[in-house]
Amino acid sequence: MTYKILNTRAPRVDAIDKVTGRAQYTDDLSRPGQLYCAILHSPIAHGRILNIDTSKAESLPGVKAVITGKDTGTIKYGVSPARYDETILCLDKVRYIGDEIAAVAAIDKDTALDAINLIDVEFEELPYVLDGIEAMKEGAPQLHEKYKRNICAKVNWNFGDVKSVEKDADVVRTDKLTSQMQDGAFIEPQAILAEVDGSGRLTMYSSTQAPHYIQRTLAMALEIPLEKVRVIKPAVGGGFGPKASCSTAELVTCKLAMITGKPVKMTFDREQVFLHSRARHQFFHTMTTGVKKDGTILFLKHNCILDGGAYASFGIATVYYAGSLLGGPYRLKHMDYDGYRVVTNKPTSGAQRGHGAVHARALFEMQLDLIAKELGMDPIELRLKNVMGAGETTCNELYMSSLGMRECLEAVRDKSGWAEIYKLKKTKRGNNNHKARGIGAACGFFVSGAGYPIYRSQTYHATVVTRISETGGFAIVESGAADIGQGSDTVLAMITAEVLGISLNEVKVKSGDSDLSVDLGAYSSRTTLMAGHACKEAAEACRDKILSSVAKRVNAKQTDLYIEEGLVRSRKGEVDFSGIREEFLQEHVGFTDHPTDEYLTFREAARIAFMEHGSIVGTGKYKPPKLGGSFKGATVGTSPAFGCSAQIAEVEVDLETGEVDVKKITGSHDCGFAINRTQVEGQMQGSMSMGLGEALMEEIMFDNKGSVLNRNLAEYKIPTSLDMPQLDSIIIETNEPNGPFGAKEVGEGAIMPVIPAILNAIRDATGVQITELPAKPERIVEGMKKKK
Amino acid sequence: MKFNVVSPENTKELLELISVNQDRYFRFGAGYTDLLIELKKQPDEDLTVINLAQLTDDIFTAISKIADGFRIGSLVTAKRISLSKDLQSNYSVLTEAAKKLASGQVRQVATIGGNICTASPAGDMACALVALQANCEILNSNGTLRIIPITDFFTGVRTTVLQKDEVLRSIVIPSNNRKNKIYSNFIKIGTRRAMECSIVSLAYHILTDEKSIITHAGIALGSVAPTIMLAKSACDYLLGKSFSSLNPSEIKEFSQKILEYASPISDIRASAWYRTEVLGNVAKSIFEN
Ligand SMILES: Cc1cc2nc3c(=O)[nH]c(=O)nc-3n(C[C@H](O)[C@H](O)[C@H](O)COP(=O)(O)OP(=O)(O)OC[C@H]3O[C@@H](n4cnc5c(N)ncnc54)[C@H](O)[C@@H]3O)c2cc1C
Repeated sequence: MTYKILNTRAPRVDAIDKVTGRAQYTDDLSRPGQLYCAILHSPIAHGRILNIDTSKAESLPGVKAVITGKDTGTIKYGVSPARYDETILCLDKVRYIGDEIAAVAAIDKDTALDAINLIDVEFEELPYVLDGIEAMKEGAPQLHEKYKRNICAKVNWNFGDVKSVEKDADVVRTDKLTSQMQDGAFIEPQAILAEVDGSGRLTMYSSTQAPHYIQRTLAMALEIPLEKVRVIKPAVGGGFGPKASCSTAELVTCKLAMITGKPVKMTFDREQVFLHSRARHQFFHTMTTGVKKDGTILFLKHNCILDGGAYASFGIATVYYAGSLLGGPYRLKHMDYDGYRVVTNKPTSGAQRGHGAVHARALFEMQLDLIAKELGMDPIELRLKNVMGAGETTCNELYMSSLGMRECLEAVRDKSGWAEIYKLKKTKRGNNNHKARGIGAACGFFVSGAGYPIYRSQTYHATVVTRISETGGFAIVESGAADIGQGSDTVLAMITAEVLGISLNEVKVKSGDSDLSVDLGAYSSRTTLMAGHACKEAAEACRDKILSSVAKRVNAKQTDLYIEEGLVRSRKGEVDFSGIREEFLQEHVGFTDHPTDEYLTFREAARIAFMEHGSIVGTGKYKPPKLGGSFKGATVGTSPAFGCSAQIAEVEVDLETGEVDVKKITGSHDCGFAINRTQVEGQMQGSMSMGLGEALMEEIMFDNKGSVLNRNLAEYKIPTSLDMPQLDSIIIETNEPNGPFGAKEVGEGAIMPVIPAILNAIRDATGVQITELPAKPERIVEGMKKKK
Repeated sequence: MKFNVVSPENTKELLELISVNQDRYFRFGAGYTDLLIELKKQPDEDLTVINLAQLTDDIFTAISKIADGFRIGSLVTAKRISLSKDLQSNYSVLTEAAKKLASGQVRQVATIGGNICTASPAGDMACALVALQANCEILNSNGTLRIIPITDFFTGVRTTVLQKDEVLRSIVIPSNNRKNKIYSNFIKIGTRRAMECSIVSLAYHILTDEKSIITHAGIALGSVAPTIMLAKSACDYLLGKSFSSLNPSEIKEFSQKILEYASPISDIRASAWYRTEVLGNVAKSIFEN
């Protein structure tokens, strides 16, 4: 199949607006008479609220409303219905430094902040716990009554029969890896503008990844009917997961708009981004893996504790993902997993790119390298020996409808020159007293859209309504999908243009608005597959209506007609379209843009169809089939398709300072089919940059009272452009049967191999095995000292 | 963050403004890359900022060759220092420090005077200037000039000898006397390659004669003590030795002398242990190339 639009490097539909500054982000919006919202955050990690005195704040001139938990009520919300554990504002207790106690609406930001400082809160301080392991111990301070020993979710899985094969393993290793809590470090801090119209309907503009879920949470927690809530996502400057759940800031801004009747606005400062967090958990992984002499992986015993801060948020999904996604991409018949999601008195963690699976993957891929070393096998050979292929099912019942794992590995092996570099004697790699070079490989595996919605429902996951403009000139795609910078609008435009046979600038995409259609949002790498399917179906419906009208007029069979490059053509020789042309020209006397092409233009055809039917509208929908096994938690990790990737990192380590210079990353990713090649590479390279930061520098630091020390991007380090190595990105296409045009994910999967590839390369260079992330210079120097 | 700004355009106006503001809270602003961050953390007060950025007098804004070295106006930016061919060929420790400061955007506005007066132990250009044993030329509101060595300028973390009625006008770097070769460089240790405050820095400026004998040595250490330190005894130890043939035990002794100046703290950027460890290692590396 050859395509005109798909699989090209078409520029993004929002590119011009973004580079010229025309694109409107939430903070760019304002309304006459709008108020500003500020939030009072808890100054202590754990305490009972004895009294809140808002009188001074209320009497400050310019203050329009002050609200506390008394005003926002006792309704619990959160991400998973089974673990709703948050109220809009704290009621009786604060659970971390940053927890939200009260909110103010005032005529400007300074007044709102001044008012916040005038609110007096009396606390009874409670003992607090900042360490996930300590939190599980008997007698540790308890955050929530319903979470005994602070465990808010527990998973115990046994797939296959580990015990029965343990004795057959020739090499068995146990290794550990600990990470730190992380931040999403997106460029645009959360921003919100809420207003209530004359009919009492609430509209909230928000920098969110998931308008649909936010709409539901607003309606539920604010106790208003769903129809009375509209959520619109303007341009968004990155999300990576933390913007996928509803926040207190969103809820109180709306509440204040409802109380005051005025538009209310709020933009987080960077500190608040860190306090609200909802980014990557801290993970404590222990894995025991058994392998046979010939390299066959026999079993995995995996234990993981996730420190998730004060509330559950996405945490249950996170603890499941941390276990389930090790089911692939290798043949692994026996897997035990014990996972614990724990609450502590710190900001809440949630979902972040590669949800739950990144550090599990990192440790497992490091272990495979260590095992290969023990067996004297090339680590890539060991992996190739175990990779699954299309048609196989994992021990936890995930079905691989396509899987180019082997192709990915072979591609990076060949492109990077692995064979030569890996075997080179250390001295020949250019090593000296100061510097040592190393090379490391790793694979990754991820879902292409969660198989089930977060709340229990038979809902479609994505619907799209496409309308052809009545003048005939272009198509308007209406979708609820959230383009948060990843380029989903461009994907929808390209699919529509391809199906309708028109050019990309004849498609306008409207998206990210809960009034337009249903879409579960930008998370779990789902949009291309799911909204893509719905979009394709909607465009096909429009195309069929147009062609049927044309066919009728020219006495042709509809199936013989097709549209390509904006022209209607017939597969069966010449067709006389002159009647339609005539009619079109008569309608446009005096116009200067008459069609002159030999064939019928899309414009004329669409206009004829309008004459027959009125507006031409096509709808599309997508919902995955029933997926997964019947064991508890089987739904998490299911997906209509799975993406996979491989990467090889080359590093140079300064032996005197421990500084790591990543020289090159060669990466490949199986995205099924690249709708837009540049965007696929963009996601791969973005993943590499983010993974490099997580491997080498990113960590949230706390003082001993539970206060975040590095609440800014000066001290929370992410890579700069100067830290980025040469990146080679190889696209692998395996034509996914469940994806539109064969497409599946690339948004998150590509981050999986980065950390282990870099850590394996560091170990290759220095012999230091990193057991605690990030691999800061200090940890490497420490490791080398210990070795000596 | 609220403040009044006054912008003198020449030295005379500047000195007048300094005089009239003696009873008030005022601050100087040059590139503002430190000042704004500092003010953001403070409660608003009745503050006047005397904006130096509009001064046009060469003495504040130029890099010039003088009889016994180079003079750099306090308003010269890191960007201009990094591009100066004269400074590069004579004092590459300074141009390298300027190149490693922050990022392209910050270097465009960050001034050398601000880097000194902010008196951070992690100041990169300031560290290079200590290695170069530069002199600070300070003006008071009467127009009187006093000159003090930069090694005496810092009195503690973020404190200096500057009086309320004084402004740093310029810096003078002495000529490289009787040199044959110059070994001059700035080593900066951090987790990333830009936008990074030094975890440890070491600035060195060493001159040798035609027989490779060290005739002058200036070595300064950043981020390992409350102020930037000139490692005097380590410098003296090198004098008279051959740069290219120091033996391992001499190098070790040298690095031990360097470490005598280090009393680092543990903070969120690194532990005291790492700072000491890595300082010893990079000190040795000066001679290993
Ligand atoms: C993102 C970021 C990264 C940074 N990275 C680095 C880095 O890598 N290395 C580094 O060394 N620094 C770094 N800094 C700090 C800062 O950029 C430098 O110290 C810079 O040189 C300060 O110069 P300025 O002109 O901006 O000073 P300003 O902020 O204008 O002033 C700094 C201080 O000096 C005083 N002052 C300024 N000029 C004079 C004068 N002529 N006489 C008397 N007092 C004066 C001011 O009152 C103020 O107290 C960084 C800053 C930021 C924001």
